[in-house]
Amino acid sequence: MTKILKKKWGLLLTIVVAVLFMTSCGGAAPAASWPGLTVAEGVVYAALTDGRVHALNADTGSEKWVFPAETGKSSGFLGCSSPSSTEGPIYAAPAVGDDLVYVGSYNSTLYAINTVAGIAQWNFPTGDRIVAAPVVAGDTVYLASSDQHVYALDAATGTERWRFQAGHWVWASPLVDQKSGAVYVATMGREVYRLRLSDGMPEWEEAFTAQGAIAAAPALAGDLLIFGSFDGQVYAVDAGTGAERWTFQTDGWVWSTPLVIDDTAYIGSQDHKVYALNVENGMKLWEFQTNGAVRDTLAYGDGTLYVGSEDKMVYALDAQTGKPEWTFTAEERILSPLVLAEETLYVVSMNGQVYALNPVSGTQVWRYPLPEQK
Amino acid sequence: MGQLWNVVFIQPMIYASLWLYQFLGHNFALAIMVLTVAVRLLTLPLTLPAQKSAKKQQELQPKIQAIQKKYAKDKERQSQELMALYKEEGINPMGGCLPMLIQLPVIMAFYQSIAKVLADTPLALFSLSSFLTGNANMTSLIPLSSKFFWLNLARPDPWYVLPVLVVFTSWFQQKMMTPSTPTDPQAASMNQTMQITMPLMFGFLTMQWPSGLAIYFVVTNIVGIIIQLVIDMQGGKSLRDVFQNIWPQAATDTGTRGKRRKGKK
Repeated sequence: MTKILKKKWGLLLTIVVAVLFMTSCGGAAPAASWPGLTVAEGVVYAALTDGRVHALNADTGSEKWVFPAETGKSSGFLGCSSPSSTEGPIYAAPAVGDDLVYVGSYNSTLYAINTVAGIAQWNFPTGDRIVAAPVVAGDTVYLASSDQHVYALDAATGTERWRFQAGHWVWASPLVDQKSGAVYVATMGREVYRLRLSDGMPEWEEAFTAQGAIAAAPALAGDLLIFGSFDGQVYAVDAGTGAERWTFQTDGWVWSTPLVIDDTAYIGSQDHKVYALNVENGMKLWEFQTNGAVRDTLAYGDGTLYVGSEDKMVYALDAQTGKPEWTFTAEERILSPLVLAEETLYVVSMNGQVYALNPVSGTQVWRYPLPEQK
Repeated sequence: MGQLWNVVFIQPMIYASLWLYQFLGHNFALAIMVLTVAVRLLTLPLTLPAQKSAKKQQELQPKIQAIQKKYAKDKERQSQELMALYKEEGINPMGGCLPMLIQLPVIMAFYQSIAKVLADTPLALFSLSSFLTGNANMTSLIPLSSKFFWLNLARPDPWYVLPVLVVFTSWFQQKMMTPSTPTDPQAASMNQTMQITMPLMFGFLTMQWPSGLAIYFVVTNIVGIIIQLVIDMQGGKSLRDVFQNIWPQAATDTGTRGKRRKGKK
């Protein structure tokens, strides 16, 4: 064979290998979602990056059940495979009701899983991927979907009660205010709606429009509705009328739900900072700099604010001053909300590790998967 | 290194594609097409000499092979004669490599930036955010309107129209670039294999990639075809000659039918 032909065959082989590498083989598959967790009645329900819900004993981390029980493998080209759930990845934290835990999957379906047995009792398909965590209020489950709808479902049976067409993907969990009988919905089309809880009819004269997409749920502070947007602003609008009251500008996309404690709203931004804002006028009280984006919802307990960051760190800050009290380093980035429950701080990182930390000292109590379960 | 790559190549491409998206009435498919043409035209001073040189080398294959055969046992003399031939014909045998190496990062960056801007999953958007931090004007465009006729630009083509177009345009471009009458049977076999394998492979990949990327491949192939056509016609070929190279049997049949008609008179 001539030299030219040898070179051409070599080139062809190189290109084929490079293309195979580009498609699916050649190294660990990156995470297809970010994990989320909820704690209720002594059980941690963690939706991890394997696309499954793991129910863990909150005190020890031992596994009670996993849904679904079997893991599927998705095949890439020529059989190169990456682990995935047969149900699809999960972006949203589970929500817990009476005997059921609800989880929305990226395959467009909401699953209602029995909390004792870990078996699905019913499911509700939507028209597109589910990113937002469902919300349980009374006997109703509120669900937002990328099919541009918000649904109100009977919590026990999954029967649809009403639906609202929001006009764009809804990635933010609805905010339910049972006291005023309203549910607030924020969309990736930059709009915020106030709906009647009973039938989903809009109550504001017109929707509030921000200057950037809204991907995280709003929070209520008295008569104010506070939320962040991709335009970098934190907005406060009148909850009754939708009129803007104040805004605060950060230097990055705001993709976390504000945490309101008394007259202070705490919120993270992708400019790597955590801000404490005066709820009345939006004035900055303090800011704290981390080394990565702060995407998650913060946690609070006994005067301490807990922050997870893309820099793999958990920070415990004095809520009044923003001064750090301790830090904890996880193995991977932290993009999911922290949960403080039953005197334990629960953290989940992007590699699917669940950590239970002592909220006073930051020391690790347990982590999952446990070494013997790997 | 990764940071440098993002700042020097990816971020400008992202900004350019978003600016075009805004300018073209929020039509990202059009933005991809325009930017693809622009990138190919900008890299033309690098690609054109390389393509011309490659074409000329192919046409000289009979002479090259004759020299290789004549001086098969004297490698040094063979090398000297070949260099003399290249010099006489004005060809730089390595001239194709440097321009291709220079344009490769540009093409890769463009491909990566399209993939990033088409983000429609939370993780992908999160990744995009680091490129748009501090730019409220660009951020206000996110998420993009990704509908184009039956296509969702962020997802594969459900009707496989684009993969078929990728296969056809890739094959057509390859056909134009290979000599019509290779003297070496092994070279002919090699060429035929590549003409089938490569387009099919890219077509298969396109079935799994976002359709926005498929549009990029189709447009870049079409631009490549036009460039090759210009090179061929500048070299003295007519459109019929080019057509004959691609479909020699069809060209022969057309000629035969014309002769029969003349005979029937």
